[in-house]
Amino acid sequence: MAERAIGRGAAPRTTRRGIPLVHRFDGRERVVHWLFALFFVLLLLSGLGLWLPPGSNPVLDHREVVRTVHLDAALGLLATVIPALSRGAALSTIWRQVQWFSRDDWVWLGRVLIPKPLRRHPLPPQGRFNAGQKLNTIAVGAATVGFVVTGALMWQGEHLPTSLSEAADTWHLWLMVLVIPLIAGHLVLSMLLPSTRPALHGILFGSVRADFALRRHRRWASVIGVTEAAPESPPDEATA
Amino acid sequence: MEQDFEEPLGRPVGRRIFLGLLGMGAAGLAFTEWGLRGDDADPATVAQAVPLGSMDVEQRESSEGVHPNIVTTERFRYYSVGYIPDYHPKTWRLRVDGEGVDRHLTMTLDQLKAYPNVALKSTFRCVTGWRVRDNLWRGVRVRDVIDGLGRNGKAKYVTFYSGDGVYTDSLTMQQARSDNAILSWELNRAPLIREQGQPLRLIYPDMYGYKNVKWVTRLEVKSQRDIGFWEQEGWEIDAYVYNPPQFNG
Repeated sequence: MAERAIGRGAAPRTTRRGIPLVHRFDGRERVVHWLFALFFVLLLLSGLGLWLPPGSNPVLDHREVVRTVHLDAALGLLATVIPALSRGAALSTIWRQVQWFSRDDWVWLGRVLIPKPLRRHPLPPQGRFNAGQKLNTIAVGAATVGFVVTGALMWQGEHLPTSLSEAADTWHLWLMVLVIPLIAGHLVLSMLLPSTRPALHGILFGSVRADFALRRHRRWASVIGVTEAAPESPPDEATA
Repeated sequence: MEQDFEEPLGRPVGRRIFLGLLGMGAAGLAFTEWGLRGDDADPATVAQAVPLGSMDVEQRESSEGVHPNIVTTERFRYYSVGYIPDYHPKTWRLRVDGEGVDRHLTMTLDQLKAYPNVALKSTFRCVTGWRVRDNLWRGVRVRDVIDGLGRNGKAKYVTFYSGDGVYTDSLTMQQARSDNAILSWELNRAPLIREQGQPLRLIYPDMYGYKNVKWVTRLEVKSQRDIGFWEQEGWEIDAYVYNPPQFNG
């Protein structure tokens, strides 16, 4: 197992400390994730630049540039997502996987927010994506559709009844308010929280530590052949 | 091909959740649109003349806790297509010229303020969907400025030039002579901030914000209509906020 990462394709074999790695995301999935993230961040930042009032807005003097960036980033995001959803493409597999919710998923959702010391039962085993990641993907997907629809209505506002373009403007802003906690939570879990941070290696390099897969995605780990024999490591140890 | 992934368990309810979220969003959008329908503009109420110095104007002065130009409940978004010009009281001038007036004039802001002042209470509507209600603009009517220079038979249109050197827009003479078309230097009893068009902005609440040229430095009265900055991109020349466009001037 230490000779190569378990799972599809070639990937780094072990961490520097010899902990086996298992393959989690292929190159197409990672490219789509990072392009989506790039365009999403550009949209959020340029959107804030278009919305912030004078005094707290560093880009007010370049509004047209910011507006162009906002519109181009929206087109870039669509150009990333739509082909990736086609049959057999990067997102279609993931999108299919996040559709399925088992009884364990619902139990997991019911227990995960209970602080660990107060939890009377362990979290049920999860697949390649846990139930929270599934909900987050679905919510971000729905928000993306909402952003596109309301943004298009704002863009074509002069051809629409005032009430419709105003409603679109209102919901475009509310979607931003609703989506920021989702993105912030995603960033905290993937970059800051020691127990979940090993997942970051997967979306950066394609593989995660076998012990992390066992601990957090046991059902998936069992499918790809990871066993308890995988060496343990401290939960907050960074992988190479 | 997907041998690395577990067989799906449970039920594929994710699509239902996704469609449910979209449905909630669509319902929210429709409900908001329905709620705003009653606020659609009409020619009779698009702007109200307010007596200068009225309590209504005074009360707004100290509200919000920020600069009176910057309303926080319904926020102005500040657009410019080029740079935002700086206002220099010593050098700023308003030029009024063109074939449609017999005399041409260049004036300072103080000279402009000497024309009969008016105050308008109106909603500012942007074509992209946002609006700010109950703005109190102080200024002088465009018609008072133009008529004083001897309007002649060639006076069919007025082109407004922005001090950014890029932005222009135009009104028909009938629109420019409306009670609602004013050159404003004050919003909510405070001088316009730079982003709002300091020192002078055309305010014509009957039309969307892009017709309300900021940083105005020149009015040209002429017989041919100039096509404004956004109108060259395909936007409406007569961008009325109500429908149908019945002129009320």
